[in-house]
Amino acid sequence: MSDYEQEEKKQKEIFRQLAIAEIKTWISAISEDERKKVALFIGPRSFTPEELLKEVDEDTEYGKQLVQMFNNLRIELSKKKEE
Amino acid sequence: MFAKVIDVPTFAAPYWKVLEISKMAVVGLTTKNALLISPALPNDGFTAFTSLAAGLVRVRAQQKGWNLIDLNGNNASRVNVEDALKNKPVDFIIHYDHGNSFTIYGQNSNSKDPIIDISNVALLKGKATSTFSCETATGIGPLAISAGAKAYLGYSGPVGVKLSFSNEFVEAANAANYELLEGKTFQEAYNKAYNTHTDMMQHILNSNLPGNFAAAAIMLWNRGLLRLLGDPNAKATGLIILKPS
Repeated sequence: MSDYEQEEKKQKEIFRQLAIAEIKTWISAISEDERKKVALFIGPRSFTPEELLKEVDEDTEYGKQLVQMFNNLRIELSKKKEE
Repeated sequence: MFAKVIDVPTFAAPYWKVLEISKMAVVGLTTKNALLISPALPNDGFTAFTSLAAGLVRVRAQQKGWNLIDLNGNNASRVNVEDALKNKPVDFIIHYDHGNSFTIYGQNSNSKDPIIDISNVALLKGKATSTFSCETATGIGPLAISAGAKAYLGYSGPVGVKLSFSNEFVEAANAANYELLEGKTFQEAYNKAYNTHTDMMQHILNSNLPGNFAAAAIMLWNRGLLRLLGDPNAKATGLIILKPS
């Protein structure tokens, strides 16, 4: 693995951990019942908050997509700050 | 441009305009015929959301004087959609439901029914389409434009919805359609939708409610998937030119 690939892998892992932390914060703020209720849809799939955490934790395709969504938002917000 | 536009009081049709081009009088009739397709599949939370959004568009269309063919629930079948597109006047197709690159779905016998696909996409020729569904702007949309559709507004990937922020997602999903029903161009509708997604993202973040970061991220994601295909200056309304014999 090249230095670039190693760095990219490391960054992806940081972004994944940030997403996990974000979802855990969400889960900690809601009741046990709510954690098991469908909270969102991405395409044809529905997810409870706990399922979402599992997707990111296991680095599935949906998990990767969610990490990407969170990253996009962070970039958007940092752009707004610069403006 | 030598055209002079004179508004004439409503008679049998919703709106008349007389165009005087040089010395030849031409009568143009603006038509407002919409086909609203909104399935409501049992035990499908996504279509529960899209039905909610479509319901508000239905009301808006009626308020704005559109003639509406309303295919909801099991009436949103391929047979009924094809019948409407082949045999009834339709200027504007509004769709809310599931989709993928090469299929727009409706509903028949409480199941998903592919209502527009490669084999019948030519039915969109000459018409304007707006859909809140996944991915169709990558396949059906370009095919529709190639087949002669005026314009196509859709999403280029899997759209998301966070249920505890349904109002914000409905607002974003409907923004373009409200503009088009007002008679704005597809470019104006796209711009409004883009900005509404941005506003709703900020509104969600400001709420500080649980899960707001995920909801805002999905809203931004949807914004990035929004695609306008075809003529940006096209409108959803139709126009019939009546020339003197």
